[in-house]
Amino acid sequence: MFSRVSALLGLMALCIYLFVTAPPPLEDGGQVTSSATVSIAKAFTVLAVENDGARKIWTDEIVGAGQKVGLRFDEHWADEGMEAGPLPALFLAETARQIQRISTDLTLSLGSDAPIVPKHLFRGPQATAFATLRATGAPQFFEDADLGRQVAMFPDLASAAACVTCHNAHEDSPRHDWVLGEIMGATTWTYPRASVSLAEILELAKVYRAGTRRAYERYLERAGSFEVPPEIGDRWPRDGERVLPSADEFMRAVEGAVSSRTVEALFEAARAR
Amino acid sequence: MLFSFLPDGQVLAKGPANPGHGALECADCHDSAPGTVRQQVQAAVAFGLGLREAPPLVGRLPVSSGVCLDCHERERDVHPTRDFVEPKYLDEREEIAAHECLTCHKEHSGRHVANTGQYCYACHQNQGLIENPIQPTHPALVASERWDTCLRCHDYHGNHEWVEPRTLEDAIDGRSVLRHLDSGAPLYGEKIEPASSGRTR
Repeated sequence: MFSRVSALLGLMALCIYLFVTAPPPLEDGGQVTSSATVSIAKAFTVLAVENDGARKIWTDEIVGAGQKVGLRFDEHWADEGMEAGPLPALFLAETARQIQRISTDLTLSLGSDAPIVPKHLFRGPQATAFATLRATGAPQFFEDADLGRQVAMFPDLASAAACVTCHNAHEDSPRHDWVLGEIMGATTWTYPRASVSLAEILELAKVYRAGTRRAYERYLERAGSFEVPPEIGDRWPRDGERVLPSADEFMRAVEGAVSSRTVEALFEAARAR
Repeated sequence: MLFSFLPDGQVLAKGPANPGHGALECADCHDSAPGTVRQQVQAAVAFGLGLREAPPLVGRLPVSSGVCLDCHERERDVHPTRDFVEPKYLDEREEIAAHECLTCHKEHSGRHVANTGQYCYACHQNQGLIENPIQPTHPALVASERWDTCLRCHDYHGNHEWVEPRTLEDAIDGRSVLRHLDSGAPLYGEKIEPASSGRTR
């Protein structure tokens, strides 16, 4: 009799432990509750706005104007002893590398259907999405079924004459007929979540800006090691001298160029919730 | 799960710590799963009864590459794992899971690299290699499937002050490579120490 009562009490205790006085149940999938209500596509769009602005300033104000005052830019800029800075595509690659050092979630890369470096050739779902992007000019958003990561691809245009002349002249380029304004490739962003909060979008933009700043600082470090280092301060190559803006000055220009569009993209994201 | 209460987590470890990890505690790498033990038990029971769609995470979480990079961030890495999350690397991920540190640095194996170090084929047999003045040439090495020779010249992560030799005669001998894979014994010279990354994990 006693053992039966004990067993019954034990069963009741087990049931209580398992079902009755439960703390709040875990959300299905083990995720904690979040305020993620915005499609990641909106976040990617904000990042693309930021990236477009930074790339334009790098391409026009540093590479374009810099070459006119004697600064060199080269695909092998990072090699030991090179007195050069990164060409636009390589500045983006350096920015992407720095982003990955800051964030374990966000990735950025540049690719094409006719890249100079074979590993940058789009394959699989990226090749399919890029074909649509090339045909329509519209950004492409999809989920990578393998890893479940969200993916965005934005057109990368031949925005400066240097893009076209360099790629057309390069011996490893599979194409030699690029024209100004043409879609040369695409930036690819990936992120593990399909929905984000507005705060998370701002955090991602912050990560992007930090990555851009570090990429530029890396160039400044290299420039500082040149046999005749350019003066670094508040002046720009467009002023007609072999000078470079400081990291603060460079980032002020980037932020000034992109902030209004970034805020607009953020409002757009907020409206879409 | 009950063993999680044991004071010495090493009792639970699947095997010996890898070289350099001997002093780590379980929680240094394994974050706790969301919720209390009781919540996890209840969620597991609910899943077992069909009252929940997905099984809960219980105990400690599996280790991701992000955890590794918290300590092993590199100033320079020519094969960062994050590159391989791009959709186009599906085949390479299926072949060798190149996007995960643990593919090569499998923890609790007691080894620095828990495979033969001959994974280069997964990408480089298809993507081609730069034809440069080395002997034997890269295409010749690929054609003869000499994937055992890659690490004799190339520092996979590229995070050491290492000047690559131009001939196999000048390269590191194979036994030293195997010793490096086993024990982590230095092979490529001084490490390039990273600047602070400010990682946000």
